[in-house]
Amino acid sequence: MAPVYRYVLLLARRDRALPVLLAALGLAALVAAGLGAVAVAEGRELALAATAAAARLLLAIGLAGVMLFGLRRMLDSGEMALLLSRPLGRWRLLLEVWAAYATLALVALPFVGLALWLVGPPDPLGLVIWLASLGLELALLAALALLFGTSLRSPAAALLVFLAFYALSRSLWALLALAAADGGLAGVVLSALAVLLPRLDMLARGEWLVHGVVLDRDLLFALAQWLVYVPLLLAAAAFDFSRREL
Amino acid sequence: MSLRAAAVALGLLAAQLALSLALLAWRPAVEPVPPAPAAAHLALMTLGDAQAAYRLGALSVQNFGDTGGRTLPLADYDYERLTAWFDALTELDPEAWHVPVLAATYYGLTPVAEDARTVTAWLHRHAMAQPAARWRLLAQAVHLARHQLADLPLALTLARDLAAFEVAAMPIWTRQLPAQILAEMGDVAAARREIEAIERRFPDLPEAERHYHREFLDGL
Repeated sequence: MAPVYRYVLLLARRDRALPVLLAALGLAALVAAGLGAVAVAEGRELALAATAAAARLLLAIGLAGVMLFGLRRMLDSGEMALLLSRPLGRWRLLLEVWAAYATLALVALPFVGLALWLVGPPDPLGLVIWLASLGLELALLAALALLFGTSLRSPAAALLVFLAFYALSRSLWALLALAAADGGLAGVVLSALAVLLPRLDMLARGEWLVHGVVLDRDLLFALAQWLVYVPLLLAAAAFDFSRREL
Repeated sequence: MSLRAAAVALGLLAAQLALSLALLAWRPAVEPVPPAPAAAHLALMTLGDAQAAYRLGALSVQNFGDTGGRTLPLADYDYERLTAWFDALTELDPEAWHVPVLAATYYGLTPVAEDARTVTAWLHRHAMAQPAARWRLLAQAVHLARHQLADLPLALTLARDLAAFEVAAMPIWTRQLPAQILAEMGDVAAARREIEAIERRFPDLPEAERHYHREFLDGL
């Protein structure tokens, strides 16, 4: 049952990426707690916001690194071709690879929650929604890394493109605010970007941990966009992968 | 050839040493308060995370003037720029208290009267935008005007704005501030009218407060 899924999880486990990520997360939480301790007011809130921002960035970059270099290794070593020698379609194979890496990212979430609880504690409902939406964000990023990892030959180039995509998607509201203030060509370009990129800035928002979360239309919009964007990325990856000579 | 290379290397080393000696006393120019960026620019530094941008930005504002092991006195800061930082950060998180606390209890204590006035005006403006959540800041602004600036007319204006807020959670002392300041200004009749107005506006005052009012009026 789901052999590729289990095989990819095994490979990721052998990479020991998770313990390294968790160690980095612990260090980030310590630094954040130190920053919070020197704030003259709302030190807990500072520690929470800094830990959350660091955890989100660490998980995104860590996931992309593990996936992109892992996929390249699988393609170069012929493991991918070997997996395809089984009675398994390419579409199904990619889906299992994506599910395995998304699972790997989700495994880290309870540790992130623990770190946030220790430096906080945060608003309980805010923490639950924040973690859930971070899980959605990481699953989307896993689909994105799958697309870049299968379509670009160099994992370093794929990582750079991934990071650019991530930075722009995360900063979209700030970019749109600048676009509105600018009104010129830069504004048009930024607005066009906002149409193409997913609004990651609407997921895992730091203020939910500090002030609590309001279950509003924005959250539903983010969820709807995830439901559209993840299949889109997976379909694009499958389309590209189906034409590839292995 | 090798001798020439060694001579060149020694010459370059000597030049490096001379440059380093000349630069030994150099320190970068310190500008305690840089120009405030827009809120969106601040958020870009944390990849769009407004909360992290607010928190780390507020920590930077807290540490303005403490650069490279040198600390500058509050009197040397540019308070117009400082309040622009307050505004930019408040745009990122209007509910947070780090920046208002810094303004009220740290930067407001500057020994330069004009600068304290700038901070007091910011506290006033900030509190008027959301009275229910920020009335304490206006009380702090009254305190700064009354004691730090010793500007009783300004303190009275601020205290009247505070007392006029329709916020049920505000303690009664916030309503009594105008009367106290009027008494301090020597306008006994006006102070008496303020106290009488409070008693009419809040008919269910606790006995302890009524007793304070009697004591206050007797002492005028």
